[in-house]
Amino acid sequence: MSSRAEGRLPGSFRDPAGFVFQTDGTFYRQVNRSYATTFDALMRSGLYEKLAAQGLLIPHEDADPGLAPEPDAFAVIKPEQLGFVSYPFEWSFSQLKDAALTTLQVQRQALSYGLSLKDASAYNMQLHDGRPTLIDTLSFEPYEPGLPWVGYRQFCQQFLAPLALMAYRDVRLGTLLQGHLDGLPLDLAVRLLPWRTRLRPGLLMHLHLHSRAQTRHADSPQDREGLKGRMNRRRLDAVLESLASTIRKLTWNPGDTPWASYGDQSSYSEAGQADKERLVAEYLAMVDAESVWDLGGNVGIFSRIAAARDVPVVSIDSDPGAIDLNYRRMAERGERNLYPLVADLTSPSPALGWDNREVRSLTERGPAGLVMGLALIHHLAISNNTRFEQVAEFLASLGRSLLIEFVPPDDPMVRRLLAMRNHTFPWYTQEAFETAFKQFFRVQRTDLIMDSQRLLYLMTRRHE
Amino acid sequence: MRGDTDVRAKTLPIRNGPALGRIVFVFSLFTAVLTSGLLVGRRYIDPGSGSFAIQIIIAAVLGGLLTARLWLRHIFWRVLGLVRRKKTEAQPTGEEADG
Repeated sequence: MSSRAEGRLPGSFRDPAGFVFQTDGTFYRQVNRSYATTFDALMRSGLYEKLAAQGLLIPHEDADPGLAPEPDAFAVIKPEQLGFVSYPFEWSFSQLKDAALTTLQVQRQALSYGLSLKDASAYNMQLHDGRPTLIDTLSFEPYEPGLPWVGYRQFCQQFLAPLALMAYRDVRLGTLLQGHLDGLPLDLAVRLLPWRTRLRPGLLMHLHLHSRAQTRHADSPQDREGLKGRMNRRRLDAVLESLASTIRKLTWNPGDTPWASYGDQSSYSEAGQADKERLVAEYLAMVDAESVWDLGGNVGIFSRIAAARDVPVVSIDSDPGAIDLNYRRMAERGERNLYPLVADLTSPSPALGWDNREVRSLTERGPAGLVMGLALIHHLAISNNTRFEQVAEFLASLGRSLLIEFVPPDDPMVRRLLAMRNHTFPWYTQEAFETAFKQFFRVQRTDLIMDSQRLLYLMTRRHE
Repeated sequence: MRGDTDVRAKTLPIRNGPALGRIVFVFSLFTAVLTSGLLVGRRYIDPGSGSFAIQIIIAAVLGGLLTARLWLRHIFWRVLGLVRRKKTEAQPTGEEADG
């Protein structure tokens, strides 16, 4: 996670309990005095140890309270640093589902220690050590027996509604979260869901009837006192179990979709593929970058070669099917350094939220030590009509070094793309590619990949 | 003539008793209150209230089902226990028979 700003993060302002700040490139969390009792309860009850040991809550260590950038500090903690921060609209179906189940798991364990999650924000669940982890240590409040769960609405809007839409309508509807940072409005979600979802008891209760209740009670605000005594622990557990079982039953398989043919899309012979993998590993060793972004990473074959170097690797692809397979493989194998991300490079995730500073754009989350663009250039240049100069400038903004593959104009894949166009691309040549990229980068090494006409380049950018 | 009509039209709702004008007035007021409620309400809508309400109802239903299931299970084992006991009583063991 890299950001040049020092002090309180612009997106960390909602919670009166504390906030995240950055000093000398390290992220800390200030715990305010008003939250002292609850923070002590979390730390002393045994809940923190239990959640941290299971990888459900980010571990932290105590830091110098003198680091607190603002008055009213009770403590300063230094959480384990994240390799990369991603947002729910960039997650694959399975990652959002795992984050949802983790949230419920945390809430159930918190209740058994007399605490409860005061919100259920998907933005608080980040990949850490290969699994969704709650990163907001100040998310807890004392559990008041008799009260319903305050995070219920947010959970349904941020997790259940988008997952149901992805499973029952179209997986691309996950990107709707980009326009609704507090989660999908339920009235919108139920209008988009197929009628048959009413036949699933979980979806009927938590989405359809929930949405109707929101409309019906819209002008009768409830205060906390009025809610007391309306719920008991057994009933609350039943609601949490019902949510978990509803989420578990939602499934989406890339194999059921047009993206079914992953893995056999390689345009290389067996020897060619092996040679490309060997060269990529050599280039990675030469650069020894502290972080890697693999653009057009597909199911993550080359991302994994980079991740073997024990550095965070963001594997970006616009195809939600490829990223879901990538994430599942990562989760199954317990791979710790991968961050699969659904994003369209021709229109990268924008900055969003208050003052456009709560959620950072994809480019603001860079630069990476090394950017990999393998079998990518022809998609950007031909499918998106982007000039080589523009691609070079964009890639130079994303990373300090670049490992890029040039796919020549007579390559079968390029010819396939050109066949679908009604105009020619005379400028799509190796010479023009090199001239454009040399404006922004210094070429360090070039190799021809065995059994092919494709070239690999290793470059470092000219300007820091 | 024209002037007369104007005066009547202005004074009618206030002077005359349960006339059409008063009904219209009350109706408009009612509609205004309702619509202003809706217009203002659009910004002050609190989806949280409905969420709490439905959560409490769902919890009661699920809690009820859980209790019913436990109760049915309890009955089932009790009945099974009785049947087994009866069977045991009906078929004395070899030891008892020998004794």
